[in-house]
Amino acid sequence: MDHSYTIDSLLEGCRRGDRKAQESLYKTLASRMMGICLRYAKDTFEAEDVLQMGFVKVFQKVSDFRGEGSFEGWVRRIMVNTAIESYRKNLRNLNIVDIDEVYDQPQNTFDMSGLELKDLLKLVQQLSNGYRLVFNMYVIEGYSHKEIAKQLGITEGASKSQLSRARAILKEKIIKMEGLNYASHIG
Amino acid sequence: MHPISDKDLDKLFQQRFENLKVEPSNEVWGKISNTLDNKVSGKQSFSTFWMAAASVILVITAGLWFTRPVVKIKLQSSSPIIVKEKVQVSVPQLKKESITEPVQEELILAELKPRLAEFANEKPVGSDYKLLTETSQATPELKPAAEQAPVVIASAIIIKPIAILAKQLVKVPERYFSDQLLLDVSQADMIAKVDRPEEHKLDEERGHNGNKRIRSIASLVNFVIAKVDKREDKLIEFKDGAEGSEVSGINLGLVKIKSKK
Repeated sequence: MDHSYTIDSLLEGCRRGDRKAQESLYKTLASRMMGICLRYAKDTFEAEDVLQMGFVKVFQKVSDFRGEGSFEGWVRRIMVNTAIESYRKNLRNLNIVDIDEVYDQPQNTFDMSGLELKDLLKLVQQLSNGYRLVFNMYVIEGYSHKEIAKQLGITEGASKSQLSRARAILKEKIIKMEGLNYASHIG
Repeated sequence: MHPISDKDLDKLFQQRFENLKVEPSNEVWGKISNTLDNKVSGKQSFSTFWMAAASVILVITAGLWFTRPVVKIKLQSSSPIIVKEKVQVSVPQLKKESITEPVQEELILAELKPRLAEFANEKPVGSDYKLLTETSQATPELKPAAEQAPVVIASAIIIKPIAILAKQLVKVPERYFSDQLLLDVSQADMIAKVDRPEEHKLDEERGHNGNKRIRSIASLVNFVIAKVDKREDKLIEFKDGAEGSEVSGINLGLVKIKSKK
């Protein structure tokens, strides 16, 4: 396909360290990767930091990519791993945000059309760091609890309980939002 | 309000997030590009480091090359080792006569015959040397007399091995071709030089080192350096002191440091 052909030719340039090829590759993948980073970050700034670190790694390790699986999948894994690293680094510096704080966040007004993508994103971003990470890794990326436990240095039980807590919070918030939508629709 | 199942919740997020695309701000590429630039310049400074390291090695190698040891013959030595040595003698024409007389070596004779004929009438000089040679055979520990002494001794001790090994090479400096009266035995090229075979030296080293046991890293390094560096003062020497191993000597050719033993 035309798309994969351009990726391959860009990859050749990236292996040589050609800055133009690197920029083109970045522009091809940046918006999709930013989508991933946003899910793992609490806000846009944090997401852009992860995106930046992730792409630097991609360009440094591009010659390690042997064409097994899609290149985009490879970049995606690097982004997720960078997000996990960033979380683990922050874990040492910051205290985990208390769950109650999430509830105290001021509620935004929602669209009439129901659950928009950006609303769902906001809900995930409002989760505390640990919950957000486990939810993303398990539900979206498809990691097992065993893998999550290994990557985050926690027990499988902790991974399971964090996931169920994250789900509970999200459900509650969605119901609240639906109720608000319903109320504003009626009113 | 209906309860949401885990499955529904997961499905909702999976579907919505599947193709989530958000344009990052324009600054991000600039930051990535800068970071990559810094990494590249880091690599360049690394290569200059290697260039510097390589040039230091080059200087040391050159130093070792130009100060490599030249083995000198010990003229006074009475050691029987000399008999085994391959001897290279640079002797003027006149000297040659005296050498060849006791030697009886066919090749050399063949080479010298024309010249022998030439010098046949120069009896006084020839007989002088003959006399000395005979004397030296009788008393190898003959004490040198003034100027001519080194040469006489050299011929006394070295001529014998030449006869045995039949490997000597006689070279006559050109300046003596014309006039033998100009002969000056104190000249450097009049003095015999010994080219000691490498194997022999290695044997000596082995015998020497065989007595020492390699007990520490320092003695291991000394052993390896001794194999490579044949000078008396090695490139680097260690000794085992009371508080472990320490450097006892450094020889960089021009710069030598040696601690007292």
